Amino acid sequence: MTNREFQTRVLGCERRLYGIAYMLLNSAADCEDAVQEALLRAWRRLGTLREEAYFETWLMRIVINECKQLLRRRGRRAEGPLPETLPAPPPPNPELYRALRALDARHRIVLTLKYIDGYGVAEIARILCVPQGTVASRLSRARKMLKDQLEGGDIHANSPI
Amino acid sequence: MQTPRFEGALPPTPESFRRAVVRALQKTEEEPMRKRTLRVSLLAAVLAAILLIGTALAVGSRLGILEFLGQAGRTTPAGEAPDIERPGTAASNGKYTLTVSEAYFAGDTANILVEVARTGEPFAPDEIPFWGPTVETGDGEELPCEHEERWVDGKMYYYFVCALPDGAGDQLTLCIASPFTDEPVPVPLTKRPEGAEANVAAGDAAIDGAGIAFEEISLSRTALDIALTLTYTVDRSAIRAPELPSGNLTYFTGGDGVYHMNPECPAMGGAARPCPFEEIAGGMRSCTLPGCSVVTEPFEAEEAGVMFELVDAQGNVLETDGLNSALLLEDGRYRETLLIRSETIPESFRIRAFDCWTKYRWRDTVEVSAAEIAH
Repeated sequence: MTNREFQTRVLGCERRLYGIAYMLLNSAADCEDAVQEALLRAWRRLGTLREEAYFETWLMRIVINECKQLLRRRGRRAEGPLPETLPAPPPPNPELYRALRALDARHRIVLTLKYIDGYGVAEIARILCVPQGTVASRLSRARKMLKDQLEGGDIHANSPI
Repeated sequence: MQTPRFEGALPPTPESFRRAVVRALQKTEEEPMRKRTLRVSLLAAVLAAILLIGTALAVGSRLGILEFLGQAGRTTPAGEAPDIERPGTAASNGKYTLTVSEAYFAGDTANILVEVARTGEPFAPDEIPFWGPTVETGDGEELPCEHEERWVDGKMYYYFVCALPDGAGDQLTLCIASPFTDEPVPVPLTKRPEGAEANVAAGDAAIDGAGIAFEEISLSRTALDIALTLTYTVDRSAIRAPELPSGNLTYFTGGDGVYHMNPECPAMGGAARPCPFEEIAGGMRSCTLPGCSVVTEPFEAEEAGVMFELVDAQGNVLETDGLNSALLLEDGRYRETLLIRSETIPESFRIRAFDCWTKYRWRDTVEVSAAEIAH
């Protein structure tokens, strides 16, 4: 993969990179730091990518690892629910944002990867390095938890969640 | 039906983020892709750690305390096989102490056991983080690993089997990154001592019906368990997909499709045709699309649809923990490690292939003699 191809593919998934980093770090400035570092790391390690078809899941995994390292360096734990502070600018659906944030990171991540970033279960399994069955059951549980969080509020009148 | 606007949960991507991405990409233009290199500082730290450990071992040996420490918390068969190298590298962030209690390479894989204890009180099961340790090279590259996590008596254990790059062996410096320490912990990797591992395959090392041919079967002791390592090739066409619905399998909706699972094979899942979220989120109650039913869903068995069971002479299945799944080596072979949870193991047992989807157990099995390692 040439540098130009690398850049094109990174820009193609820029929004998804931001989405997962934001859900983990809860800070736009931290997202910038983590993703910048992850992109440099990914470029240096590009020779280790065996199949280009997996570029995006591979890159996503590097970003998630970088976010974890950032959390570790700052002595923060990612596994609990995050503060309910609304970012500026606020998300279009603040209720859903708050509900997602109230989940623990394990479930927040799979929901983000699936429904915000649009990955399939097999891809999420590759990104998180867990069996597909684990991803599927975690998604199932996460949806129930999200529904509980949203009880009383409606993200969508017809939404089944 | 409206589609849930999940993207509405996120704030818009700020312009500053876009600029940050562009800046990072510009830097990549200036920086050539690197081959693997070791950070000199980390290498120095590892060398220092090795020196310290060597000194500690020498002193410990003289004081006669190593024999005691070496036995603590071990679950190994009775026998006289050589002790495993115990690097004992540890680091603490005050709250947790992470100890690399075993680390060796054998051929193209590395086996590492990490133990995490909480300072002053037991590690509670509900504080197990959603992400555990990862194994990295000295320059921060994460190695492909399968791992087993286990909580035992107030401590967390992580057992890794990692694929090493070609020819890496003792030239490679590894470290453990985790939420339990502020900095990655260096792992002095040593070659597995002669005699601590035995090749134990006997007879025809293939299970014909399953399309599995074993190239190497070895048994070894770890500080956590007894490990059976299988290196094999698979003819994927031999794995059959069951017809659905199958009484063998349970199903649930898992995000983008209907998933059929065999609870006996927790590491495996078979995805069906993806369905839109709004169609499946209600437990299929609202499923109206063709092919989106739990009874008509086309099914594709995963290539890793076969698991292994270890059976003793009386037909009892030994209790084992597989790692997440088989590790795919660079040459296309698979390597799978089964951790046998037992104080002792029978002198001989059989490896039986088990089709997770049809629940078929092959009669052709491989006989393993454990005498070399257990006695």
